[in-house]
Amino acid sequence: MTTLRYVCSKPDCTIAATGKCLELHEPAECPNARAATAAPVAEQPTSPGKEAARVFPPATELGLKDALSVMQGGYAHLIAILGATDAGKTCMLNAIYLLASHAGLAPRFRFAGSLTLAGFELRTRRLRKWQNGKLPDQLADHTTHADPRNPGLLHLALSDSLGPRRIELLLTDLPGEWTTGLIKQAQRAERFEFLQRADGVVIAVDSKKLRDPGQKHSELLILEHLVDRLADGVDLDRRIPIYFVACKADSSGVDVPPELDRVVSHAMSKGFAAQAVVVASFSHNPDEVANGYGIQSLVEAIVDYQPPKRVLPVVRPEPKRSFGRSLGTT
Amino acid sequence: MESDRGVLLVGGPDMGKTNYLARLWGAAYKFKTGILRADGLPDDLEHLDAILGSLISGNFAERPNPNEHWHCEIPLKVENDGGFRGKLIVPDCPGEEWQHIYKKNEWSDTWEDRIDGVHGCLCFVRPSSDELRAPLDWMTCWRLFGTGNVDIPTTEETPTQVEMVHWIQCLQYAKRARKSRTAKLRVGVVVSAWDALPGNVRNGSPLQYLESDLPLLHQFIATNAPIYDFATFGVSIAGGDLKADEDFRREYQEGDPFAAGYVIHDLSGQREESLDHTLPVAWAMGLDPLARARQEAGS
Repeated sequence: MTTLRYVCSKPDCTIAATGKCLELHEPAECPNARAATAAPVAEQPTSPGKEAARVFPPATELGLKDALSVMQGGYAHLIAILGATDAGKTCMLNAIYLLASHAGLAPRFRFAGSLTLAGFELRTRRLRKWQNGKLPDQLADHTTHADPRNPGLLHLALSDSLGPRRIELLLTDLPGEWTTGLIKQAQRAERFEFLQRADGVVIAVDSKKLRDPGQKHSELLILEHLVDRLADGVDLDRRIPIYFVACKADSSGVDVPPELDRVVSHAMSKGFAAQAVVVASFSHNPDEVANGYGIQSLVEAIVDYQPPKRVLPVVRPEPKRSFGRSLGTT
Repeated sequence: MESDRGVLLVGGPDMGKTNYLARLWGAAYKFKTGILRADGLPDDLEHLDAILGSLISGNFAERPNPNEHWHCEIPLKVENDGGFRGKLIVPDCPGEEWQHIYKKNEWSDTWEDRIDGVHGCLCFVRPSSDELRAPLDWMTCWRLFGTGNVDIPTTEETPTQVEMVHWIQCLQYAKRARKSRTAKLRVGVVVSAWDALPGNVRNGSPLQYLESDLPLLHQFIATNAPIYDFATFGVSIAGGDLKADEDFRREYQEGDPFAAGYVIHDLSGQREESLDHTLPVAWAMGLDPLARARQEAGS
């Protein structure tokens, strides 16, 4: 099967990945785009045949119930990854997988398995894309083999030498439109109910926009709105930490943007535990900023997080005997 | 009495399974100095004798018909141990079936019907094969993600190590689904054509080769000891290149072809070389090959 696809001379245009022109032209009419000769689409996992003796759980992504059942009682860290389209969510997922598979998280973490190997492999080749048109409204409970890309979970098991212990990570793969939709419309909060089960929320932020004087104020406003929606609309459990991840650090610098600290403070004012992290999932200049910069720190922050202990109020019982009265002092 | 311990021989196309099978059959049936001996003749002898005939004549065995797949079960026993018996199972499917399992996330009766009897498996990789697909690297991914102005990526097949880890996980999943309690699955990773590796790699261990070239598989082996028993082997069935080295081929033909080749292992904790081609199968069946070898040497 061959597919007519386009590439664009503008470096930030994602038409090759999403089919949507940055300047809202029709691809065939955009002066910057050209049709590319497409190689046959790589084979993707397809529906099982009718005569299969055994069908295994889907390996492209897991629905929420699929994931919980295959964990078979073992604890899994559910990490929700939010952020606008093209903020860097999928790159972050791919970088985590590539680092793990190449022993790039060693010596502390080593790859111990994955139920969604096919899902990671297809995403790293940009071969698992959101379908044009209407996106699903809910995180799937179950997925089938031949589904188009569904909002679902990717699974990655890591062996932690500090422990030692096995860590099961369930990482959400959600379209950016979900995040922007939540900000725009409060009623979209119901699709984020699954966040109450999360062990952490990662919010991917395009750090290039934060460094751009013409965009940073809008970007900050959007992030603060998102925090407010999580706090009020979703009523996210305040024990769930939020990690603001400034992506594309290779282009915009490895220091946490000061503007992002403001967002962290805003989240804290809402009662959340929050911190900012800087990553460069894929680096344009790997000699200065390595591929995967900051990813290990992010993983460590997630798995090492300890929620604050609840401080119980001291209850002083009423005395049954008043020694003061017997001594005549009261 | 321990009987019918099955070992699956698996791996993608051109990974060295056919040649190892030929060498194993020759060692078990004819050479008879290894731990395992043939326990009678298999039902289907035609293909086995064809590939063994090819090998002892000085030619690497080819699958008789690449589009044909044949089922084979070689009955094996331990010499001087009337109780221990097992079989090496070559599933009735071509090497491409291995990739089919990954892509379709299912398998056929060919595999399902044999699960209960499987004690272990030998998974083959051949470093010098064009069919061995390397892991996706950062450079390729940067090309895909580093800029919005990307060329359409060429179709790239899934890396071999990814398919192998996926298959091992599937096998474990299926065994657990069929029996809630099961002995730990023994998974032997066999690096075939060991003699074709560069000298510095060849002088190391198979595990070191995996760490360098197949890091995902290596880490999976290192971190899953509670779930599987793993061992790694380097195998050279002839000791050299029968195809490209005419001098070596002549020397091989003039010598004893049944005595050729070697197996590299670290079952003792150190790199060792053995002439016993049945050793990987014996290990996968659940034997302690080194203890057996000491026992036989002492008797």
